[in-house]
Amino acid sequence: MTLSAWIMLGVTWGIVLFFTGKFFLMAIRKSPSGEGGE
Amino acid sequence: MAGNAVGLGNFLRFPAQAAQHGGGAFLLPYLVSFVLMGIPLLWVEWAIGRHGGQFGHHSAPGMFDRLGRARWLKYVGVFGLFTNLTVAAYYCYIESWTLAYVWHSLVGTFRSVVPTEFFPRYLGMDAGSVTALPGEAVGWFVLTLGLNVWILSRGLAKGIETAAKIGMPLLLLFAGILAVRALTLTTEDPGVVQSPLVGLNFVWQPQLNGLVDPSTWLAAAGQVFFTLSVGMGSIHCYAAYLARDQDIALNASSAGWMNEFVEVILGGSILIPVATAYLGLNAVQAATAGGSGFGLGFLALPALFNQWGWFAPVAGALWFGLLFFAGITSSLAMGQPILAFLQDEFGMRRTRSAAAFGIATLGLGFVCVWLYPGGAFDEFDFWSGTVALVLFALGEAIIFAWIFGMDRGWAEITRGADIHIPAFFRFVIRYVTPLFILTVFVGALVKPAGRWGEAVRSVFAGDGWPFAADSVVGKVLHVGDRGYQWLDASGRFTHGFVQDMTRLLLLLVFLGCAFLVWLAWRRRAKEDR
Repeated sequence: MTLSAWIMLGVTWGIVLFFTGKFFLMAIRKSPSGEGGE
Repeated sequence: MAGNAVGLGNFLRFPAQAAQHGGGAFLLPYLVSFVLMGIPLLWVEWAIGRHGGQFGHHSAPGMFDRLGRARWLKYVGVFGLFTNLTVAAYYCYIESWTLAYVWHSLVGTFRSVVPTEFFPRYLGMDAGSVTALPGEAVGWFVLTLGLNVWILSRGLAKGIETAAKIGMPLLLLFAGILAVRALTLTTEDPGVVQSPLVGLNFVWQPQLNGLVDPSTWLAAAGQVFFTLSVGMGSIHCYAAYLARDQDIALNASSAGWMNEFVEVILGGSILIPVATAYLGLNAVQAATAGGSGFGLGFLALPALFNQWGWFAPVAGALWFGLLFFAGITSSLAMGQPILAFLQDEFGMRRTRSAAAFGIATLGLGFVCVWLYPGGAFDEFDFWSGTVALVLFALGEAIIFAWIFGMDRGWAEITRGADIHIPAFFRFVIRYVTPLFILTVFVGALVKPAGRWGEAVRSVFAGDGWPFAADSVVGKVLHVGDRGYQWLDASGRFTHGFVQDMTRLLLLLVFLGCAFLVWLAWRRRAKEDR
């Protein structure tokens, strides 16, 4: 793996994990049954 | 909804599309498309669906009819019927492969037959022939489609969604295990011909040339639409059942980003590295060239499982079983808008509308099975699974922002929202998204064979526009297909013939859907609805 590939992977994974986690947690907190949206 | 969005596209189509369009060259357009088109369109579709639902519409034609006064608006909604019907036809075929692979994993077929030999044989591929009627594949396809129709007719789709809440975490867990195993394979392991990191590097190595290739943009946009089920009409249908003030902003965001997690992180870490390890990077690119590339997962993964000793049959059955589960939640979501249209507009009962969907899908799916070697399946994937999605998305983005109006549109998106959507997205939805899709589509439509400047000079020199073979016009005109004709020297039908007939069939299906909409509104006028 080249350094630029690692950087691209790291930045993309970071963004995806951040927003997935953020909205997933918000959906869980919102749902009274703890089901996380639908 | 995330259970519905996560499907075969995440694990099978995304890596293959990435491989086909140059790995890292594909990823940048893909990520930009997701942010500038995917997420805004998710909000737009949920808003159109919930808005239409208030007027008793559960399919796209009726919903679009309510977005303005023009009579033609409902015909844009025809795409919402056409894409669901035609994508369901070939999607159910892939779904049936996963079911067949559950069986073959359990009985240990892949211990004695190499997957790269098994798969073409299973599909009935025979060099020189454009048709195939593989008994086993047809059997699994009919069984899969029958299961879909039965679930739809019994109104059990909700039950399946509930079951998906158990199945989905299991799939993610197993995908995580697979990703770790895939990336830790070494050339010391039996059967491994190349390091999986070569494959990972291929996917993630940034290549800026993809940014200036319209075909890569079209493929990237098409994949974003396909994976998010945007530009299809199934999200509209789902949202139509929401209450007026129920949140759509958070629901759409969480479903969209969860889908990306599964696709980019898990989907991007399994298939290409595993396939590179066992087949080599050149073979991976060859296996995905020119088509949808759905088959790659069926060539590569059984080879990995085979190395797992006694656990191989369980691993194969579990993986393909969970994949089947993810697939069926998506295909059921494709069936729902068709059923809703027939029920809303023609007063059909659920069982009859499910049967009508089943018959139509069986007929179209049979074409994909029968003419698979001739390229019918790939034609379905390109025209229905890519071009139609982009066209529908373009239409709905323009109608929502400019006919329904951005003030009403923004109010619709943000009403009852559980999250604050930055006002920046109002600008994005109004200007950026429609312009973006338009640019991608027009670029892919007329992409020249060489540089754009050279193409313009060619026009002024009187030589005409040199369409690229992979441009939309180039495909229609069979540019690059040397000796294009319908019959070969032996009088047998060619790939070109199958391609043209498949396109004609898809056009007729679209016109048929438009005719049904016309009929439905004539009925409405008579009944004064």
